[in-house]
Amino acid sequence: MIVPVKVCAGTSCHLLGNQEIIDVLENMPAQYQNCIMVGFTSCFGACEQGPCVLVSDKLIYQATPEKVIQAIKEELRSKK
Amino acid sequence: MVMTLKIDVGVASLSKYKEEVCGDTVEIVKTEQSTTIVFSDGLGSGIKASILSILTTKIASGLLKRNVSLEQVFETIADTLPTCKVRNLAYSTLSILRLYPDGRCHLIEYDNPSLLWIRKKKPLSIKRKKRQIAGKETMEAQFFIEPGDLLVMISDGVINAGVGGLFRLGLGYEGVINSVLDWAIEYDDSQPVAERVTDVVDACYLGRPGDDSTSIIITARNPRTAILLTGPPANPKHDQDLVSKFLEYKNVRRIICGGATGNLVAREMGREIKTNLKYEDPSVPPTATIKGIDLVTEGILTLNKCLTKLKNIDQDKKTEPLFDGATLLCQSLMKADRIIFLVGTAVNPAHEEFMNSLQLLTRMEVIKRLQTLLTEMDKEVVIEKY
Ligand code: FES
Repeated sequence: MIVPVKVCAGTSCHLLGNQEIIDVLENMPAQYQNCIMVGFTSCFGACEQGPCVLVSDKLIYQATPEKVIQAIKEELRSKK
Repeated sequence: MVMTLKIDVGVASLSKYKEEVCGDTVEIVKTEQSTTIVFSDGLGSGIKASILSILTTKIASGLLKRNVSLEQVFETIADTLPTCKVRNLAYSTLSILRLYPDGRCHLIEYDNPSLLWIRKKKPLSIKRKKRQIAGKETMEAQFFIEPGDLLVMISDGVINAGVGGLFRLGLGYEGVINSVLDWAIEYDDSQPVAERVTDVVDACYLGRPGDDSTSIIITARNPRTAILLTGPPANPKHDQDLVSKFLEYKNVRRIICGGATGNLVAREMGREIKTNLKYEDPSVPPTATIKGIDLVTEGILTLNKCLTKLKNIDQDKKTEPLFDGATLLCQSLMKADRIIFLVGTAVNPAHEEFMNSLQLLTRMEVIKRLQTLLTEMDKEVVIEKY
């Protein structure tokens, strides 16, 4: 199963450090690479709480690489 | 209605093998009333030919800028420039083509290969009349061009390319027309077509041009309009009106700058907005696509970056071959003759904090500066606030 991960690439999220999250997602260990599909979206309208990342249908505010990885793990576990 | 044609001129030259300078010279004189192309090929090659042709075109363009008629310009040059005593030849050739915004063309040629006229991939013949001006036998023509027409002015080096080598009789008029047509479908600007023609010429000469060779491509087209929507309106009640306004123009290039603006248009159009998968430039957020919209970029950062790029654009108006939103935006603005900015004035509170610290200009400020720059480039710019 594949978990869609969408990183907001809007102005605020870009400036609030979405790049760090993208880097981590692109360099995930091999076991995760095949289970996630990374993409971008435009502004979620929650700019003040960025960076925002949507993991499946869960929107993560003030996202950090750790928070995003945690959410991906949870998602994978729940769908198993 | 008076047709207002836009004239694009592309020029490319090759110097004769082992010569440092080209003996062909082209001058383009643009005024509000007309575009005039002056082309001269100096006798022989090298520095002497170059000086002669520069002298001829400079005199001509100087006079043309003072609104002197084509005939008088010709007369002055014919009287001023001596002919070579030994060979009884004029020291340089001269073609002057004046194009008016209504499509009217006035051509006077002296000793150059004939101007070519192409419409819908077919050559048209230009009815020329012999005319004596200051004792010189010139060819004169008056004709009307339409949007989509192509005119090709060339030096004899182009016609003779490959003579006695690759071709018995050289590239010839037909060869020139074919190579122009080959490339004209690929580009919508004149400059790259002119360059490709001289590439062909260079190849015909096997990389060692036997003569200075110049190709001038002139295209006529309708003015291009771009409409750029950026920022949601101050009052969300106007969302729909603003989007309809943005969509109502026909035959325009539609550009959206701003994530929230993109979402707004996608919502109103009932279409999906897809953000592209790649950061082409780490400092410019990726572009997006909405069916029916030509370009969708992020807002503030892209606009600021585009302004910087436009300020630093080089003389021949080429942007670097990059694909980030700011470069694409810059290219779209450069291509347009008329630009309508629809600027929404809603403020995103999340932006305010970093605007100062990053020394970014506000949306309105960027647009105003873009207006100044674009107006200097002879474009018509309209700003509407919402
Ligand atoms: S820019 Fe990411 S939520 Fe607005």
